[in-house]
Amino acid sequence: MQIRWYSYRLARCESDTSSERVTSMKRLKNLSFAWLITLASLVLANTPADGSELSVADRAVVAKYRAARIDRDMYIARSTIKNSDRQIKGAPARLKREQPAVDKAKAAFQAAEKVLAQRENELEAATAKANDSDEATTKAAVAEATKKRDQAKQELNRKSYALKRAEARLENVQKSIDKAKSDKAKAEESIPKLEVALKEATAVYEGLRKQSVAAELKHAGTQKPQTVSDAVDRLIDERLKKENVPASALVEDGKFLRRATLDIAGRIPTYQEVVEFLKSDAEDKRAKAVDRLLTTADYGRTFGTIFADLTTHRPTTTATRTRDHFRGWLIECLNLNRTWDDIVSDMIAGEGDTGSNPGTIFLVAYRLNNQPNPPDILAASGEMFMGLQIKCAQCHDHPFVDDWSQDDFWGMAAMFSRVRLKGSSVYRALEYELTDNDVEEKELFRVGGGVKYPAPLPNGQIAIPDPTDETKTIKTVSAQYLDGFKPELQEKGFYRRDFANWLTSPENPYFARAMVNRLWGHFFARGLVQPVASMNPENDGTHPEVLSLLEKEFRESGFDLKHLIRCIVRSRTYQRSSRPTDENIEDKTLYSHMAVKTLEADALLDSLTIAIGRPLMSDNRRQSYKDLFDTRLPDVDPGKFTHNIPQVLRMMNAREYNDASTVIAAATNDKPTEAAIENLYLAALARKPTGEETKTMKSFVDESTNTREAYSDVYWVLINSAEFLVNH
Amino acid sequence: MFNRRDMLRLAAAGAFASSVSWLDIVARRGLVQAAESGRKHKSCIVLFMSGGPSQAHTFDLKPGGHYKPIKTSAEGIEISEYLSEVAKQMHLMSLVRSMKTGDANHQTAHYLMRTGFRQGSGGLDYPHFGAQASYQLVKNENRMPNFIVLKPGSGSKNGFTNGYLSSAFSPMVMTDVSKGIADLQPAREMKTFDRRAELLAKQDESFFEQYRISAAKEKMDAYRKAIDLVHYDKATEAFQLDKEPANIRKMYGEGKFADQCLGARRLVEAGVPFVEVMHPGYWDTHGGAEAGQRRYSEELDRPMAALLQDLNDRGMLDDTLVVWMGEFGRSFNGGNHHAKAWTTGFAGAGVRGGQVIGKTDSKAMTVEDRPVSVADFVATIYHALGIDHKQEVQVGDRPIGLVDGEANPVLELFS
Repeated sequence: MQIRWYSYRLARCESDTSSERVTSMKRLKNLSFAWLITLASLVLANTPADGSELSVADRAVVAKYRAARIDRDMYIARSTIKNSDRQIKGAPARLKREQPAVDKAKAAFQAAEKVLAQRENELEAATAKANDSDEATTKAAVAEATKKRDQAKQELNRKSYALKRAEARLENVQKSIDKAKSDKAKAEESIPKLEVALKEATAVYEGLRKQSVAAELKHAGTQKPQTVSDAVDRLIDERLKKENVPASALVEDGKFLRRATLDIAGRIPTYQEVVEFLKSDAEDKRAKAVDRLLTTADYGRTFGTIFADLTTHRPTTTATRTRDHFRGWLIECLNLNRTWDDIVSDMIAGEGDTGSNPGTIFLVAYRLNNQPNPPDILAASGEMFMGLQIKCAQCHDHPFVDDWSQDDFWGMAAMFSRVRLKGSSVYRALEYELTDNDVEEKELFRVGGGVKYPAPLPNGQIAIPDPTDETKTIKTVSAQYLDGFKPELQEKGFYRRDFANWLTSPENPYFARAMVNRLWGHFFARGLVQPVASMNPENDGTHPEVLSLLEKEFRESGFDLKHLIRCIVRSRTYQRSSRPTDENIEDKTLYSHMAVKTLEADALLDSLTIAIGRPLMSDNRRQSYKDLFDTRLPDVDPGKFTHNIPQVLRMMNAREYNDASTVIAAATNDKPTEAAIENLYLAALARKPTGEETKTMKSFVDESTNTREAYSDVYWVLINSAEFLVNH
Repeated sequence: MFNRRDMLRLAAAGAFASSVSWLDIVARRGLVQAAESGRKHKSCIVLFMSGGPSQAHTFDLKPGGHYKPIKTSAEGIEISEYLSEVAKQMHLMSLVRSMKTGDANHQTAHYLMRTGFRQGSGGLDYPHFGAQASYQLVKNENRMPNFIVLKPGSGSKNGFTNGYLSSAFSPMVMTDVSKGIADLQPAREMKTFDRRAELLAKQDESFFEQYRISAAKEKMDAYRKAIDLVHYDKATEAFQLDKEPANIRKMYGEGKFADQCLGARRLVEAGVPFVEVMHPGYWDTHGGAEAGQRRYSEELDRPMAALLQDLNDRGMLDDTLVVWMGEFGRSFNGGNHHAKAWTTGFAGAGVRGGQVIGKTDSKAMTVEDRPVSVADFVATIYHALGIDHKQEVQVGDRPIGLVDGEANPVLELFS
C-alpha cells in the first residue's frame, strides 16, 4: 500500500477512455426514436462519432442494449395500441352512460330555471301587493317570497354546477377517446419505423458481435497461456515436494472433459461430446476442448450467473426480473469477452437508466428506502472487486486489520453518496434511472429499517451514523481511498467515476488479485487465499507466488478473463485426479489431488436436463426448478452436500427424470449388454464402467425380465449416484 | 417393531451390504424403532404473520386505537374484538408484549426472527430455529420430515434455511398441506424402486471407497431418508386432511389457513418435530391498517383458537409449543413498521397460559417493562423444547452459540 498509484491514475484521467465510454453511455439516454435509427445505422457501424476508443466488444454490448431499447419502445407502442383499442371499444358504452347524465342534469337545470322564474314572478306580485298596502302581512309575504326566490337561485346554481360537471365528464370521455385514437395512430405509425430500426440495430449488433469474436480469436492466438500454466505447475510441485506430499495421477480423458465442461459450461458434456473427445488422439485435445467450451454461450451463462448471484446477493430486495436483466447483461459481456475492468466500470460508473445500461443494477441492488445505500455498495464492491471484507469497519475500526479504520470505510462510502434513483417504471424489467446531480442536500437522514443514514454533504464529505444511537452521527469525514489518499472532489460531482477509475487501474493492488483468487476458487473449490473474499493484508494464503504470477498475467493481459481461465485450466494442477492416495488424502491445501464439488443448483439442473436428452430450460421455466434446487448458500464449502429431501425425491421420482428414453435408446438399441452398459456410463458419467461395475450391472440386467426397463433402471441409478451429483 | 416390508427391505439391503453400506441395518433399525415407538420428542408449531402484524390491533390494544378490546377467558387480559375465538382460549396462551428487536426491514427482520441472528453476521449462514430445534430434538433419527413449512400465500421466505446444519434439516416448504409431499410416488412400481435403490447403494459404495469424499455421509443420509419416506405410510396419511372427522374440520373452519393449522396438528401427531405455518395474508398494512388488520385477524381467529383447543383436548399441548409471531410489529395506527415494541404469543410445552409478560406505553410503541430481545425470544423457544440454549455447536473449527450472545429466556412464562 506504499505505492501511490492514484497519481498515475489521476493523470491518466484527463484523457481516459473509460470515462469517455461512460459519457457515451450517458448520451444513450434521452434519445428519440429518430435519433436511435440514425445512430444505429450510421454511428454504430463505424467508429463512434466522439472518437473514443471503444473496443468492438464494448460497442457490441452497447449495440445490443440499444436494440433492446427499440424493442422496449416497440413493446410500449404495441401496449399503447392494445390499451387504446380497449378504450375506443368501450367508448359507446361510456358515452351512453354519460350522455343521459348530461340530459338529466340539463332537465334538472331547466326545471330549476322555471322554478326560479316562477319565484321571481311571485316575488314581483308580492312586492306589488305590498306597495299597494301598508299591512304587515304583505311585508311578511314579500320577505317569504324573497327567501323562496333566493332558495330557487341557490338551487339553480347547484343545478348549473351539476350540469357543468356532467358536461365536463362527457367532454373528458370524448377527449380520452380522441386521445386514444391519436395515441393509437401515433403508435401504429411508429411501429414500422421501429421495426426497421430494430432490424438495423440488431444487424449492427450481430455484425459487431461477429467482429468481436473474430478479433478475440485472433488475439487469443497471440497469447501464451501454456507457459503460464507450466509456471503455476512448477510452483505448486515445488511446494508439494517440499512438504513431501505426492500428487495423484492426471485425470482420465472422459473425466477431464466432464470436469472442464461443468466448470466452464455449467453442465455435463453430452454423450456425443464425450464420444468425440475420447475418439480424438490429438495431443492438444484438452486445450482444444477448453477453447471450444469458452466459445459456447454456456460459458457466459455459467459465469454470468455466478457473478450476478455474487454481486446482487441472494436473497435480495431486487426483483427477479431486474436481476435477470443484470445477469443477461453480464452473460453478454462475458461471451464477448469484454475485459473485467470495463465490465466493472460500467457497473460502478454507468449512468442513465438500467434498461440501456444494466450494469448499474449493481448499485440498484443495494437500496435502503429505495435509494442506493453507500455503505452496502462499498461493502459489496470490497468483496466482489477487491476481495476484501471491509464491512466490519462500517461500525467500528476493523478488528483484524489495523490499517482500516471506520473513517476509511465511510470515506470510501462517500464516493457513492451522491447516486440517486429517479423513480422507476415497470416494464418487462423494472427500470431505474440513476442520477448524481439532483440530490437533496438538506435531507439529513434517510430512515429505514430503524437505521438512519446521513445524506451526502458537499465536497464528498459524509457523516458517520452512530451505530448505538440511530438519531445521531459521530462525525463527518472526507472522501478517501483505502490507503488514506483523499482525492480532490468537486462540491457536487460524479464521484463514482473517480472510484471506478481508482478501482480498475492497473496500479490498484486489489483489483486483479481478487478476480484471480475468485476464479481459482471456482475451479479448485478453495481460493489461493481463503475465504476468497477475505484477502485482507494479514491473510497471505497458501501460495502467494502463484497468486502474484497469475495476478501479473491477468493485469498484463488487460484483465482478459478467458485468458486467465486458460492459464488455470491448462495446468497439470487442474488436471489432477480427485482420487486421493493414502499419502495425500489428508492434504486439503496443496493441490495434490483435485477437490470434489457438489453440483450447485444451475449445474445440477442443466446436467440432469442433458442427461435425459432435453434442451436446456429457458429462464421462465427455470425459476420454479431453481427455487427447489437452490439450497446452496453463498460461501458454503463447495464440497458440502446441500441437496435436501424434496430435491432427492424430485430426482428419484419425477416423471421427467424417469424418461430418458431417447438417450437410452440411442445408447443401447441393438447393442450387446456390455456395450449398452458402457454407453449408459458414458452418457451419464462421461466414463467407461470398471470391470466390477460392468459385472454388477450386467447381472442386474440379466436377472431382469424386461431388458429395456432394466437399462432405464441402470440409468436411473447413474443419474442418482453420488458421482453424478458431484464434479470430481 | 418391523413390518413385513421393512423386514424384506432390510434383508435385501443386508444381503448386498458390505461394512460401509449406506442402507446400513443398524441405522435402519434405529429409524424404524424411533418411529414405531411413537412421538417421544417435544414439538413446536409456529404461526407466522408475515409483513408485521400490528400489536395495537391484535394483542396489545390501547385507548384511542381503531378496535375495541374484549374480555378473554383469562382474567385481566383483553385483546382485539376481531379475535373473539382466540379470546376464548386465552387461558391456554400467554402474551409477551415487550418484544424489542430493532430491525424493521422485512427481508432482514424475517431472517433475524427466524434464525435469531442478523443476516451476514460473522460470515455464517444460520439455521432457522426450527431447523436447529429439530436437529437437537431428533438428530435425523426420525422417519417423518424434520421440519415443514406450510406457506399457503404471500410472505417472505427469508430465513427458510438449514444454515450450517445438514440439508436433512432444510425446511420442506409446501403451499398446501393436503397436497402431500411432492414426488413421493415412485415413477415405477415399488418393487422396481427397491431394486433400483439397492443397485444405487452398490454404485455409490464403490465411488465412496475410491474418492473418500466428505459429502458421502450427507448424500447417504438424504437418499436414505427420502427412500424411507417413499415407503412410509404415515408420510402420506399425515397429509390427508379428509381423514379428519367432520366435527374437527368444522372446529377449524374453512379456508387456507384453517387447513394448514389442522395439517400442522396432524404433522406433529405423526412425528414432525417442527412446523411453521404462515398466515396466507401479508400484514404489511401501510395506509389501510384498520381494514387490513381486521381482515387478517378474522382469517386468523378461528383456526388459531381451534388449534389451541384441539391440541389441549388431545393432551398434546403438554409437549407441543405453539408460538404466534411476525417479524416485527407496527406503529400505533398500524401504518408503519415498528420493531422497538411488539407482541408475540406462547402456549403449551409448560407455558402457563393466561399471563402477560412485559408492558408498553400508552401507544404500544415503547417497552416499559421486561424488554425481550431476539436472543431472549429464541432462547425461550429452546427452553420450552428442553434444549439448552447455552450450548455451542461446532461449525468447521468455530464454536457457534445457539443464540446470538447472552440470552435471558422468559422463564416467567413457565412459572
